[in-house]
Amino acid sequence: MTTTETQNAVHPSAQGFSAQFGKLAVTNTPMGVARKPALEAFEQLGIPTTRHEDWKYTNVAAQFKNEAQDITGTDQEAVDASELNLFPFLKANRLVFVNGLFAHALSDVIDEVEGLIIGNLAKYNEQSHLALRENYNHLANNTKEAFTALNTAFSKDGAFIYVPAKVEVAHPIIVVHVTTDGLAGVINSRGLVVTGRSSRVEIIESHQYLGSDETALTNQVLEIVVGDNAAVNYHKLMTDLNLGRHIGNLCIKQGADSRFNTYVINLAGQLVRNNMVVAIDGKNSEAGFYGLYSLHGSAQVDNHVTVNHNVPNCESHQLFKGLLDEKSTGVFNGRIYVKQDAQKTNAFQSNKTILLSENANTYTKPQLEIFADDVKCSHGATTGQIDKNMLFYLRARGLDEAQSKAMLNQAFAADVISKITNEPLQEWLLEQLNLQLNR
Amino acid sequence: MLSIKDLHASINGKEILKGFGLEVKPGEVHAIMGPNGTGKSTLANVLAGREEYEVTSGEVTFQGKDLLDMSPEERAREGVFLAFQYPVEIPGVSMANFMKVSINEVRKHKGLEPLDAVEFLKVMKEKMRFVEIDEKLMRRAVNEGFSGGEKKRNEIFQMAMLEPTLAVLDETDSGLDIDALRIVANGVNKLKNDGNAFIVITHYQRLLDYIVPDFVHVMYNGRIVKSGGKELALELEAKGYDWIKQEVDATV
Repeated sequence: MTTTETQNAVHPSAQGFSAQFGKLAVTNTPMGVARKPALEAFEQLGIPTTRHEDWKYTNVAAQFKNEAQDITGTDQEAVDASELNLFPFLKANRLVFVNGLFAHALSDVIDEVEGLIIGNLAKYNEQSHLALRENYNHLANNTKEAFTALNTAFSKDGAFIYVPAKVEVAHPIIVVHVTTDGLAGVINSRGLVVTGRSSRVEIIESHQYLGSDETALTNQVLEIVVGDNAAVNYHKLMTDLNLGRHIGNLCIKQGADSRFNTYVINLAGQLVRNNMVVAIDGKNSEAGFYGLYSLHGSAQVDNHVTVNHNVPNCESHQLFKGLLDEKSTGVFNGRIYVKQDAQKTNAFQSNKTILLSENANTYTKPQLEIFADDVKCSHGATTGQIDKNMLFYLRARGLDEAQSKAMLNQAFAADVISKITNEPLQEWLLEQLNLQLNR
Repeated sequence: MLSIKDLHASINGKEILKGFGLEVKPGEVHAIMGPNGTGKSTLANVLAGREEYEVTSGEVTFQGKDLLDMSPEERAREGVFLAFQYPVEIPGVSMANFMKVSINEVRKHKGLEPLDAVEFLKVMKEKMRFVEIDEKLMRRAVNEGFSGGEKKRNEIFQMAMLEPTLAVLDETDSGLDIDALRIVANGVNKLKNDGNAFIVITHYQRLLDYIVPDFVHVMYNGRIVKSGGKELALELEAKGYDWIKQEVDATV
């Protein structure tokens, strides 16, 4: 970061936030010291418009007309556990965050192992925990990503998960992010997951909105450091988001011999943008990105995936499927970058969409940048309607048209859900999908 | 049971059925033979209700009801079954789940209670033995990765499950080896009773060695041009179709 930037004018779309920043307590902690430079970066970048190539199909600027203010942490007392989906069918650790702050009373940690932390950032930031100090804000790209910079400047709390070497966390960690009704503005929430060598953890993150109209926009940054020989499964579920709006920035770094899978399921949400960037920095590693978006109304889901193959002998998979009904829109942008040294890379990408209505839209853009010569890379995108022959076959056996379509759509979408290895969760998601398709 | 009168149907503006007529009574097996491209499969698809085919004139009554007025699913529920010539693969839809929904839709229409999981499993196992189909196939997706013979046997299995009043077998014998052919034919013979009927569409006589028809009809140029008993099939096998074509073309 250069010093000249501060002399430049503040981008008009950033001015509301700039004015608020002065009231923020900036402490000498890992989170505190990152704020000012991030604000300055945000002031230069401003909220991206559709002229910005990465935001071509998602008009996020339009969402900021009256809401250019940070409201992280408001309305803490407004939530009752009965209003939330806490995944009662899973024996799990639970961390609940309300409007960006940790809700201790709603949370429950059952796995207690020496050194293991399943907690919240604010607490361990105060203590300047070593793993937090060494990793916080290292993967996040504040100079290029406006929403990441905004988040670093304003976020107060979020999940902090530290899994020491050789620890296999026995139960999943459920992280619930709740947004309450009737808010206008941006809720910034942050997360950091650091896993040591040969550790294992499963994270199930659920974004829930307790209102029915349009609401505050949640802006999340999550950094995940996957240690050598570690295995991390991360699920991002937007099944209880209603008409919520969300921007997510997920940044991952993988060590050698590691496995990382992410499953992004959107069965709700008015406007959702998921940025996912992985740096595969250690040999013999695998990364998987699986996404399903089944939308109706005027909902829009935009998934941007960047896989950076920086070292040899690694494998990555991207599978994103969309079922778009009514006036909904799906966007997929998948970038595979293979460095010159990253020989023997296997990288696969697929985006399949079924348009259930004439008014639904899909935009897909694969980007392959390959500088190594001994690699296997493939990408494919298909868009179509329900297969007529399949539909007729089912109807010829007595299933009505709606039943047949729901069955075919379910089958199309279940392909993604079936990648989830947690069986009770997989079953629950199939049920949710079924409910949504037969709504 | 089934009465087809002066049926005309076209696809993409091209007329395929040109005045087809047929009367089928309970307990009967009708074989429809004929050269390629004479409209045999079109007939099967029109009877099952495929929307790509446009019926331009004529009527089809099934048990006193206007069949052409029904959706494909209504026809299936009323007891019309089409064994597809090319059964489609449906990834992600499990055979067992599909069959359970199917049989219960048909039962609901008949005013019967749906089968629960245990009852369904029992019926399914019994019918699988019937067509000598591997139980493993039921755990797979519909027709996905099935061999040609397995797909055809799967059609007969579904027929056995749904116990239709009228079954139309569209070239179920094509692409089958002799063992599979016998299994398919046995399935049909065991299902046959005084209350149901079969229309067996075939290109070759060999299936009729196993399924003995009451009537054999020769279809040419979109309609039936010759009807007879089972001996007609043997005559066709020996002489081919050319003499029929010549006969018909001479009278036009």
